[in-house]
Amino acid sequence: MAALRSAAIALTFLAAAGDVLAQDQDQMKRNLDKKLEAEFLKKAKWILEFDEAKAAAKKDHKLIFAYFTRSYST
Amino acid sequence: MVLFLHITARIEGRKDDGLLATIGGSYFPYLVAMDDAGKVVALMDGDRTADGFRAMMKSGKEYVDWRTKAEKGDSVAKTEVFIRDMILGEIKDLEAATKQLAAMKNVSKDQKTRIDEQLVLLEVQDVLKPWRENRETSKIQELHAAAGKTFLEMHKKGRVPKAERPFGDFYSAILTHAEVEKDIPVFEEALKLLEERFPKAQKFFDAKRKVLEKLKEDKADEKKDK
Repeated sequence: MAALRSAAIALTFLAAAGDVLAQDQDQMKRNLDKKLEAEFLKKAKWILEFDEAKAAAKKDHKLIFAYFTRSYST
Repeated sequence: MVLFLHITARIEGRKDDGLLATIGGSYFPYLVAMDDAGKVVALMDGDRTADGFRAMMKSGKEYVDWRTKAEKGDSVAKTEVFIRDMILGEIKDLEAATKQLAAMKNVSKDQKTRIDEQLVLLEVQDVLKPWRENRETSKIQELHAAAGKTFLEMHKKGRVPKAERPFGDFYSAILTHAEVEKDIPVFEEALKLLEERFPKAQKFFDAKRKVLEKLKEDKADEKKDK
C-alpha cells in the first residue's frame, strides 16, 4: 500500500514538473518575442538565421558582425 | 557588413539555440566578427563603442587577408594567423603551440613579443588547471598555492600576463602561496600589484590585509619566542 502511495506521489510530482516545464517553455517563447521587438532591430537589417547570415556574407564578400545575446533571465 | 543577431532563448528544439557555445562564447553580450563560413575572425576588445566595433571588423578583415596570404605560402602570414588564432582562443595546448612555433620561419621581433604574451597566457591556464579541475575542498588552498609558487618564478623572470583576468588569477595565486609560506614581502608585493590593477575590489583587499596583519603578528610572536 505504501509503495502504491509513493508511486502515486511520484507520478503526481512528475506530472507537475511537466506542467512547470511546459509553462517555462511558453515563458521562454514570450521572452524571445519580446526581445525581438527591441528598437535597435528596427533601425537596421539584422539577420536572425545563422545559415542566412553566412550565405549573405558569401554572396557579398563581406564579414559578419555577430551580436550574441539572450532572452532568458538567470 | 552583414548584421547577424543571435538570441539564446533556451527553447527546446529551437534551431541553433546553442550556437554561442558552439563558437566558443561563454558570456553575454558576445560580439565577434565572423567570416562567411561562420568562423570567428576577431573578438570585441575594449569598449562597446562605434570605434570599438570598427576596430573589431578591421581586425577581422586583417585576419582574412593574412589567411589568404598564408594559404599561398607566405611564412610571415602563417605566423600572423597562428598568433591571431592564439588570441582567438583556438590554440589551447601549450606543448603543441610551442612545437608549432619552433618550426616557424621569418618570425619578426614584434611577432615574437606577441607570441610570448600568448604563451604566457597559455602557461597560466596550464598551471591553474589542477586547481580549476579539483573538486576536493581540502585541496583548494594547496593547489592554488602550488600554482602561485610557479607564478612567482614566472614573475621573477618578467613573464606576467597582461590581460585583466589572467593578471588577477596570477597574483591571487601568488598571494595564496605567500600566505602558506608566510612570505610577507611576496604577499605585500602581490597585494600592491593587485590593488593597483583592481582598485574597486576593496572587500577582497580588506580581507587580504587582515591576512597580512596576521602573518606579521605570527612573525613577531616567533621572534619573541626565540
